Amino acid sequence: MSKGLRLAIVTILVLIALFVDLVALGVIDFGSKPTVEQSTINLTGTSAPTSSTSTTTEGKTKKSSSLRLRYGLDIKGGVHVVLEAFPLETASTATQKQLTPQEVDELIKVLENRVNALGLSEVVIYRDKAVANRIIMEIPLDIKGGNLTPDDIVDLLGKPAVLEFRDPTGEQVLLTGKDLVKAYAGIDQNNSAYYAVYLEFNDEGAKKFAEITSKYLGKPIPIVLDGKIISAPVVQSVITGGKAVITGKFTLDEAKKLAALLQGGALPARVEIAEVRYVGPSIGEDALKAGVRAGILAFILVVIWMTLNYGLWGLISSIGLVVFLIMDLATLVLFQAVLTLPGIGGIILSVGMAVDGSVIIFERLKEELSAGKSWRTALRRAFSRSTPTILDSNASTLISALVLYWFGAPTIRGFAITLAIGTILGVFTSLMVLRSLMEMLPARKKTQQSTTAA
Amino acid sequence: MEIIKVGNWNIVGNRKRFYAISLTVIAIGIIAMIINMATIGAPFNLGVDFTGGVVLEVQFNKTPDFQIIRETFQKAGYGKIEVKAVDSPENTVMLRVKATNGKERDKIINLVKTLPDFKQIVRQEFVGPSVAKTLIWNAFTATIIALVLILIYISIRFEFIYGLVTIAALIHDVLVLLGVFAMTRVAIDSSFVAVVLILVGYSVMDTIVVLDRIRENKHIYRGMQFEQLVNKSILSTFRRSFNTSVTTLLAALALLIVGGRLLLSYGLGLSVGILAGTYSSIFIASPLLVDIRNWQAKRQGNKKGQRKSKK
Repeated sequence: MSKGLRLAIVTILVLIALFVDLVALGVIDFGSKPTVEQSTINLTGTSAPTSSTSTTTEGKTKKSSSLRLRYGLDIKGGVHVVLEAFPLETASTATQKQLTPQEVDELIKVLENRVNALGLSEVVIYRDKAVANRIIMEIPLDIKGGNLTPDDIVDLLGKPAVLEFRDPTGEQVLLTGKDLVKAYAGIDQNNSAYYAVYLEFNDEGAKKFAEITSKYLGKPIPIVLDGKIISAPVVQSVITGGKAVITGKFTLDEAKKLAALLQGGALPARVEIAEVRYVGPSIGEDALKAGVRAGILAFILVVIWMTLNYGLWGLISSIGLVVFLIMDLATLVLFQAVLTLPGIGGIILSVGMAVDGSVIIFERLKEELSAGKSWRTALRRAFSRSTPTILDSNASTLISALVLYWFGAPTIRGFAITLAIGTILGVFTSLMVLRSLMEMLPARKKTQQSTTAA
Repeated sequence: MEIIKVGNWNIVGNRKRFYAISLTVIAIGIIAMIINMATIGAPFNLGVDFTGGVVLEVQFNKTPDFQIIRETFQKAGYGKIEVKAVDSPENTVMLRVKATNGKERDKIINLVKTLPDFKQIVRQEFVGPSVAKTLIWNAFTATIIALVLILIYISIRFEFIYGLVTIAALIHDVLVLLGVFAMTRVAIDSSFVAVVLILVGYSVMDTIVVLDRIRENKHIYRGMQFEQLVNKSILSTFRRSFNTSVTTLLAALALLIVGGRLLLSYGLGLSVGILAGTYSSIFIASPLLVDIRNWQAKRQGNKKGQRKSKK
């Protein structure tokens, strides 16, 4: 590869990376069109300045949302819950030990219904790829779901929510939540201080409900949720419209929760909480700050060490390190990687590893120079002879990182990802960026070779 | 300016001393493990990832009384509970309680909420037994697969025989690492496994670089005594091994010193691991090659001798 081509590739990539970083960090705002155009339109526009600022802020929050740094729950705060699902213990399925994939899908659907009914679109629910009956839920703390704490949400999502209308003796089940089409919270019409949950049944449910209300007119019919009687209204009249109300002196929140549970339907399986990892907002923020501080300290220490050891060359490799960081951040943004705390650990470690290539090259360069080679020849030979060494040492780290990603625990995946990206970019920095920078140095006479050691 | 001036050191000749240093460090680690066995019932402080249980970081409105916390849990039937102060946020303690299922977790959380001056739970980790089992299995398979893949890689790129010495160096590194975790009682969990795996990948190459130089020098300096040859190779790769390790070590130390308690096991594991890995690749692995060589020569000599005497 020629010197010019290498420099051109490096420059273009660094500029792209820098642009991505600046957008991700919010330094550059841009909507669907590039920044410059947008600002010209704004400048030439005669409309009130308030409107132009409002469009840019909107553009920032909406349009550039794909170019941003995504933080994991351990940094922005949130709950990571693993649910384990088992077959319901009914007579017919007593022998069945494991759920079928369809049943797990059904379960996920019910959980998603509940989440939607609660208005928590930020909650992510997915199946664990490795273990068939595990379902993972990720609940960020910045949810807009009313007054629900993460613990409430975990609680709500794990409830079986089996709704039953029973006969007055409470022994026979007459109607279940399966025939429900809609459940919503509203003001209790008998007592406006409280809220009630309004139910709407499908045709079959409506028919059954009409039969029940005519059969037990004047008698109480217990409404049972998960084995507990939540209300036992006395039937006042035959109800044919398929509508019912559950009252029970609920607050608005309680009524909303119950409605969401009933709307989502009963869980088709028994679930158990198998794992919970919760990080409060202040803890995540503190951890991020500590991580950034460690990163800055690592960078400073490495720069000092390299400069003390290799003088001007060390400074040049520090510039290479800055380029490395610019590209590392941009890669994370472009790959939409989620930055977790261990991920920050991986980035910091890769800062230390990225300059390893420089050390290998500089040591070779010294050898070549002391063997009496000219600067140009020495530089060329140092890079070409260091290449296999650099590739080898990074390949083994990359192997470890990839194995860690595929077979390691989910909590450490972030570490594996950032380390893998850092390893690859470290090689690029050593072989391309550092080389371009070193080639910019003026050719020196052989006698000057020992200046760095002076 | 050069920070390290490589002199005409006789590393191979002094190898017994270097072995002794390593053995001492490992022995101290083993003693720490034995002491731990006696005091906490396990050689290491195994984290909830592997044992299962609940870790709660609970913030109170004022400095909490550890005695009250312990008594509350004791009354509820949780005799074995770990209580530790946490430096930030203020008035926060870390509790670690055994819990075998989600219902028990609920019970423990409700219990915590009844503690006097309870403010909020700021962090929580609950790992049930089935997840703990998966995590142990993950750790095991990941380690084995990484080791096998790296061995395959070394065999393709270099020579399989290097693998033996390299594995000896790796065992050394892991023993030192385990010893330090036993001494400091920092919890061993999934992140420890991550650290070990990355160190496997990272320090193996340091060892290989020296070994590869030995092979290269064998052809250049024909007739040189093997011991001398190894020493020469160690010295000529010394600066490279040392400087690359220092830069990575500096990053790991930064993580250890200011990375905060949640990255502590990464910082500690990487710092100690890189130190041990660099030490073993310079002072243990290659000198060990000399010992293996001598032992082989001796055995062959004996065999020859035996054959001669038979004749």
